[in-house]
Amino acid sequence: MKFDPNKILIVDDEKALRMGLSVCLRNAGFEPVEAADGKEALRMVVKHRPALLILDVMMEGMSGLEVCRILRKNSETRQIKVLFLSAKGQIKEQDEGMEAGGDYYMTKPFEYRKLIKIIRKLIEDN
Amino acid sequence: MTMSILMLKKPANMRLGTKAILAVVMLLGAISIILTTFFINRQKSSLMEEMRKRALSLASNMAFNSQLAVFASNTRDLRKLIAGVKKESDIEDAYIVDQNGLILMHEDTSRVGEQVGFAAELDTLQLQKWIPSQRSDIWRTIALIEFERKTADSDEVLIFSSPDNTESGETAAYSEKLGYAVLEVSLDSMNAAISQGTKRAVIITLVMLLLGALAIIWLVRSIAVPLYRLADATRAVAQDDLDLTVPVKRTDEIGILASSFNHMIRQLKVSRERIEGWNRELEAKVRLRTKELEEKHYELEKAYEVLKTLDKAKDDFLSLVSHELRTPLSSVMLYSEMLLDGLDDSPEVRTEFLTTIVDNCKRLTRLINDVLDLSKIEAGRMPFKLQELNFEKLLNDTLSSIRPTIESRGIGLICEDTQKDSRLWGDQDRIIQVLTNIISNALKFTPEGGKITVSFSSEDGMGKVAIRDTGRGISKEDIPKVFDRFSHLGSIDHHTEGTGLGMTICKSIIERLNGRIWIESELGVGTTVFFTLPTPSRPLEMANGEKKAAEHEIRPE
Repeated sequence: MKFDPNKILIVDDEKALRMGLSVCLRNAGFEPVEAADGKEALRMVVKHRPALLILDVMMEGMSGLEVCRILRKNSETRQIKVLFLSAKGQIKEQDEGMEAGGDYYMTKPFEYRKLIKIIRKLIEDN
Repeated sequence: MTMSILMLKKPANMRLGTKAILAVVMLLGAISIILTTFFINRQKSSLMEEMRKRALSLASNMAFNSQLAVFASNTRDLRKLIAGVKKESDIEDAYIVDQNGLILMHEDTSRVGEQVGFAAELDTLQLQKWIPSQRSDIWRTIALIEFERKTADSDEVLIFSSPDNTESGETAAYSEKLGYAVLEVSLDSMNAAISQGTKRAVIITLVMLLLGALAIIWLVRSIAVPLYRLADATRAVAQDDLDLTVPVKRTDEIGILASSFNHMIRQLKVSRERIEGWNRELEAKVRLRTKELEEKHYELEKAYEVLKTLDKAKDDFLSLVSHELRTPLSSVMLYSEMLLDGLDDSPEVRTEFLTTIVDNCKRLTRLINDVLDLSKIEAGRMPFKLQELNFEKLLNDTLSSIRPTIESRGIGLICEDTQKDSRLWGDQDRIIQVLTNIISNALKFTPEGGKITVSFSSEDGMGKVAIRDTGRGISKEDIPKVFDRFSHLGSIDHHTEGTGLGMTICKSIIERLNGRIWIESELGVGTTVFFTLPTPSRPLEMANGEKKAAEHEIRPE
């Protein structure tokens, strides 16, 4: 499966945050798409083939960790970069994120410029 | 006792009684032997003396009687005389010897003229002699036969000396030895008498010894046996047997000793029982203490478990709160930075960004207030002002702030006040808070054109309120979660509206006011929230045993 290196999927149940991030990413030259929960996120991955997911952890239904695990299990989606963006900032929780296959774990609240820098780096690595 | 004598123990190891018996028996034996020997010897010498006297008198008689016959050599008279003497008891033999030691006359005529063996004795003889012969059982008496001639006048007179006039004042003028009368005396009868006497003495001694020994044994036993009994008793006491008593049947020193001993044992027993009693008491106390300690330990463990659970709950709650705070905070930060950086810099967008920031700040404030409220209620620090309330008025006050939202969404609100008496007992502001929360929730889940029904009924001194909506309902599994903190059930865009603590706070308040709150729901049909509160006819006792204050105010603890 071919991925669009400009496309970034924002998965978060917080609408205001999704919208704000979309504005930022668009401004930085990316093409953001949004999903409000885990199931929608998986659908959007298939539909838009983003190079990177900004993934919230605590969501109703399927959690961000589960989404990440599914992506890692599937050979076609394995290369997609996953950046966890979570309000849960304890070391234990960060470790869980990395174990689930995350490439980076960022804690809310965050500086969006730093976030964009990391996204760039992750995509270039690929 | 006999055993110990037979075994011949060392004196030091013998019992006291045995020692006493042995000593006394030995003493008795010694005395008896000495006395018996003494008496036998006395008897022997007295018998011998008697024999000697008799033999001498016989011999001197024989000598006197034979004077004339010897002088005249009248053998017939001499033979008669000897035969007469020989008839006497104990006389073994009798004969007459001449001056030269030749037998002059003997019953056995063949011996006449025989030289006697004791001729040397004859020279030293004065009057008579008592001498042992060659045979030990035969003694020999020799008496001188002589005659005197008095020369007082011219005519010669023959005077035969009598045996007993030797001491007379008359002096013999002239005496001539004619020969000797010899008597051989047998000691057999004397010896037999002595041996008989000895036998008798020995028997008497033995009987006395036996009687003495028996008496001593009885005496010693009468002293020693009670002593042995006492000794056995002391041994038993030493081996911890205090149930023993020594029989007291006498009033002497041993009796006193025994009764003192019994008294001592009784005292010991009493003391020991007292000590055992103390021991038992102590043991019981120790057991009780141990049990108490165990109970305390168990209680402490339980308390520790409870505290651990509470601590975990607190940690979980803090972690949840922190998450709930970070979420709006990140929106505030994101939008603020975007504004600072001048991203998408049109006035409309800017207004939109600022609105988002303000909304999230409001949400943060609500969240903080709710968290504080909840912790105050749960810690019992929330003041409740209890008074009589009218439900109708409460509902009107609640709706005055929500009504515009209801109308704007085209939802019908029906108040079914089926009972005239709608009085309640509680805190006005808190009940309005509960009603606002529940009705707002109902609004959230009720689609446009839906219906919200509020009804009140009272039974058993409790007022029951029901708020029914026609929303999508809650699944059975989710109903218990409604009252959980930050449950955010079902609402997609809850973050701008509720804090996730509303129903938790409602539950805490209602339970604090001694009411009950629960939910009935059916998916696709709607949800009904019920709660009950006491009516003034049955004033509440506060939950958790809080006392009603005078002005019906529950003060902070």
